[in-house]
Amino acid sequence: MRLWAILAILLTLSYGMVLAEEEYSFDLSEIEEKPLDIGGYLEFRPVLFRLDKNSALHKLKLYNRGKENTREEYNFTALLDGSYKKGATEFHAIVNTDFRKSYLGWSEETTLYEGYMSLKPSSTFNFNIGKKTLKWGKGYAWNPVAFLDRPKDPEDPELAREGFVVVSADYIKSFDGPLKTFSFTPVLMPVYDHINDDFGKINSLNFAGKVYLLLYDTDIDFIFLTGQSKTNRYGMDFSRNITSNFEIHGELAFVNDYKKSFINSDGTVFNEEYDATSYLLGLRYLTKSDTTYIFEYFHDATGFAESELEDYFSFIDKGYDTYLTSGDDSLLKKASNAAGGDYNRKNLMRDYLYLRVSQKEPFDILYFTPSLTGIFNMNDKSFSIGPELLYTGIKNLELRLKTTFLVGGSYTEFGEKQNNSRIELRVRYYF
Amino acid sequence: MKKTLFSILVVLSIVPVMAYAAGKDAAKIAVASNSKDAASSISNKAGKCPYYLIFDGTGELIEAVDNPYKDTQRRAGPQAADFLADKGVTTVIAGSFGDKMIGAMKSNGMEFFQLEGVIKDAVEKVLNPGNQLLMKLDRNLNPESYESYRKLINIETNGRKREYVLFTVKKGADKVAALFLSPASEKGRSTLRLDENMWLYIPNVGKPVRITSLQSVVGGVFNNSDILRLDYAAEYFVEKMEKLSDKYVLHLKAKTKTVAYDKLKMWVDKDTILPTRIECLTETSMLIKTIYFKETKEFGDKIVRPSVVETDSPLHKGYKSVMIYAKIEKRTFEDEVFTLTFMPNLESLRQ
Repeated sequence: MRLWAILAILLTLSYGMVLAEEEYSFDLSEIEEKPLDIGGYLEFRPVLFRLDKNSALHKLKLYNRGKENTREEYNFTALLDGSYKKGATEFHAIVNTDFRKSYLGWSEETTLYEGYMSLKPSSTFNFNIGKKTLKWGKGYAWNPVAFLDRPKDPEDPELAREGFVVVSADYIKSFDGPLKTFSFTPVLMPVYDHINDDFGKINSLNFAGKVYLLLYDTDIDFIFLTGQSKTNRYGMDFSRNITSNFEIHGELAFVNDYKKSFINSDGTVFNEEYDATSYLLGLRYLTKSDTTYIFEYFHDATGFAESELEDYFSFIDKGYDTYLTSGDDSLLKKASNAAGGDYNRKNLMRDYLYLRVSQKEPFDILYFTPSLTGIFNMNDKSFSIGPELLYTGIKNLELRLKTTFLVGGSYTEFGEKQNNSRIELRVRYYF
Repeated sequence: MKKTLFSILVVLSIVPVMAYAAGKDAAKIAVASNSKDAASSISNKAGKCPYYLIFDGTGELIEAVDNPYKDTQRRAGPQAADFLADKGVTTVIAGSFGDKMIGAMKSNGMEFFQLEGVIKDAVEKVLNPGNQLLMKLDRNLNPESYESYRKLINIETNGRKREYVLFTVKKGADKVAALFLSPASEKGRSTLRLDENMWLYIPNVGKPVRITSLQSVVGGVFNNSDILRLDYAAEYFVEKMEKLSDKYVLHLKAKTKTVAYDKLKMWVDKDTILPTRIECLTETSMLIKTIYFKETKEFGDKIVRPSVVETDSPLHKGYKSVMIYAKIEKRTFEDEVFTLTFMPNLESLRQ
């Protein structure tokens, strides 16, 4: 018995020693530089939608489908991120493959998010050619100055990862004094058949640029885009820490001759052309108890007025009534294709508030972050609110459970979406 | 033989004293003041105070000068800083400083201290040998510009660990950047600190975003300013120095409100001039965390320093975070490496 006890103590001690040794081991092979580097993640994301059968967008998109109250969707994603370095040259590619099982059956889509070559001859200059994201702007939920990026979803801003084919460079210069950094990023963006043809008018070479200054501890960017694919646009943004736990940021964007199409309640399409000035003001605040608040106000001058959106919803209702009485869905199809896809934007109207509150590691649960995200449409008083639980405590595994509730009266943006609510689980494994 | 040895010892003991004295003489301290009396209080208007009292390195008042920019409406601070630099001032003391004046003083290579109270007491505080000791400790911990590889381990109450490997580059007093090499979920993330400005770059987000020094990019007990630490002397000054038999105890106070901890209490080994323990405290002396320095080892190129830095906190009871240094090497970098635009390219610095 005593022998067992001694053996147990020895085993425990040796285990403890192994642990202690492990605790402080740092093998140099872990930091070895490899020319070829491949990583990425695998993701499983089931989503359950609770449908709002009386909403305009349900009538528009699912009028000829079953009358179920809920809809399921299963998403499987593989993202591969690889790079190869030789001297000052680097090749980088990100490929994303989505498999989806929804009410439409199985679908598969593979997209090259990024694929470019970089030349980095010095720390003051680099040159890139290929498909690349630029991600301009300081806003968290919206970026009116991101003239060369695909629009992001304010409910999940990290999802917009697909870039455009561009030729770009960075010239960087540091100084002593109030101006600490100056950098200039010129960008050439070709828009032709099969190259960036979803960006704007084809057969044009567009030119854009960004000047970045770190001036008096404030990040400031001046941005422009000119060319035939879109009308000229100019903008600026800033970001600054006020104290060690408080940051403010903002964006201002001018779009010359912005063309907006909208439909009235009779189905007549109108076109309007005007100079649009959009802006965003935001802050990030961290409390002593590790709660982070991100708050933003966004005025989007390219959005629809309340009456324009009401007309659109009213036209859908009319089309749906016609379909029910005669089986004729031509009005619904017209509504669906109306206004060149302007009605498919993530946020349709002009004035929004965004608030995200996240609490780091409450109740001493390491790697656990619950949060709450709200988007409020100030024009029609509809909103979405989404509690979220994120756990990253298992090495390379990220678990996220997210629910979103959409609330609003009739003919309001969030009230007329096709879902009342949705719940999704995201399991992501990084390798 | 004895005489020779004695002479060598005398010379060896005199040289540092002379050097120290010479260093002190070279120091010129300007204090923002509302009067020409050294017994009066420090003015809290660094750029627009009526007078500057200028002291030499021994603490003697040598001059009281009128501030030519006291009534200037715009950019008084930077102009006053240039004015003092022209007078050979190396250190400025005031009740508070504007950001623009801080920038101008830094450009002129001047030190500054935000202090309250009687002027002559403040000068004594700044000339405190503790501050000289702190600067030496900084150089013993790491060269002014270097690259290093660190492993960060968060240990939970049940013994479960989470490890991060970081590549870090630092230049001068105010520039440091770190790149995560593992685990896979964090790979490619980088953080940059340029003085009190901090940014985080996450490849999934695709652009650097400004963060605050009190946040933690990895969770656990270390926060951003622990991971992207600047020289202690750059952020703190020594208020008081205690001498124990084999240790010094330094009581440090943050130079500005934007520094992560208001106060530090630092135990320093007398022989090696390396820290053994640091308590990080709030303004009211509440303990936020304790940092322990262990396992001193040689990293080559005369760098001998603790290879393990542990930390625990009463705010995270039972949790522990450990930082292990595998490699520290002197290396110089261009200033442009420490810019927001360069952040996505940090990996290209690894050799």
